[in-house]
Amino acid sequence: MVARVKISIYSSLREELGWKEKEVLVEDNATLMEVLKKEPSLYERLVNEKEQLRSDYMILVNGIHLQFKDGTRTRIRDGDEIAIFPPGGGG
Amino acid sequence: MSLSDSERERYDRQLRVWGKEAQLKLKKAKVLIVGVGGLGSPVAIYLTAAGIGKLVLVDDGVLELSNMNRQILYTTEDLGKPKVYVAAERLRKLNPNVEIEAIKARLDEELAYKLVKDVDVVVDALDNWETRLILNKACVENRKPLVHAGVEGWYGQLMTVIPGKTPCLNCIMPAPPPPRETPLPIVPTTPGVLGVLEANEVIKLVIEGRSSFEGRMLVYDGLRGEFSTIELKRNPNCPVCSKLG
Repeated sequence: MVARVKISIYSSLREELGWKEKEVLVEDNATLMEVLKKEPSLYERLVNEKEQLRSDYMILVNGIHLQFKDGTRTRIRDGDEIAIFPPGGGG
Repeated sequence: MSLSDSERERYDRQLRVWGKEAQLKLKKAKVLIVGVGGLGSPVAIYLTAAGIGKLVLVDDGVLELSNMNRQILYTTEDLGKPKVYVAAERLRKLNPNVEIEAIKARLDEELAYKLVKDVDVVVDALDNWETRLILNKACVENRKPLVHAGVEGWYGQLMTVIPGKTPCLNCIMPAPPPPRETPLPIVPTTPGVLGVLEANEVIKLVIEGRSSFEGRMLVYDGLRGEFSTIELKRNPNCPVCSKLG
């Protein structure tokens, strides 16, 4: 079964990648990493050489930070929404 | 507690919006602002102008020339002076009805717990995630609302933490990101926009007991001229807030 997943990006990521929202099609129950690989420019931004996610980006799956799910192995289902942005740290 | 003739005149335009009872709630309220830089300047100015009863300001910084593009509480003559004391003096001149307490210190866990206990609302106007997470924990454990904002470049975000009800900062940023090797780029107006919005949420929390950003984050994009919101959920496994009902 194919899952439709909405990815929304914000702030400087929009400027860098030139888009706001995309719908990607993956196998249902794919991992977050497999979803990100569908968007190579986004994947390159978020994942380092050791295949680890950069910690300065907030990645939410249906409003919950993926660290509180299964990290990069979080399973993505049809209709899931992923929000990604680098929160500002300054003041 | 009542309003003097002078206070009724000073607050005339806002009394026409929310009335005397709401103004008295503001007059009774104590607010802690952590950081009096780019965000803290507009937060403190507007809350003072609005007639908050007491502001507690915490910052350990001394005014540097590179602060001057955005930290609008200060003048060039203040360079080299502790920001928190200069801020307190300016704010007392802006509105002598407001009690201002200035604490020159870097916020650590012990100070956070001590200060958070005695106020009604807390404002995060900090410049780093490490201290934000300390402040967040103190607010959650003392069940005090925390209005958060952070900025970088043309962008910023804002959310309100209501302990036990909404996600806390630890839910969305479980660990501080690695420190930067160079100063963060900041457009002068970005902390201005976010700081004014923080002050606006504090006013609503005091007057109406609610914020418009409970469980959702406002993301500001000053380059595109856009505001977006992201829906947030409490993390059932959050080590800081998940035990609160």
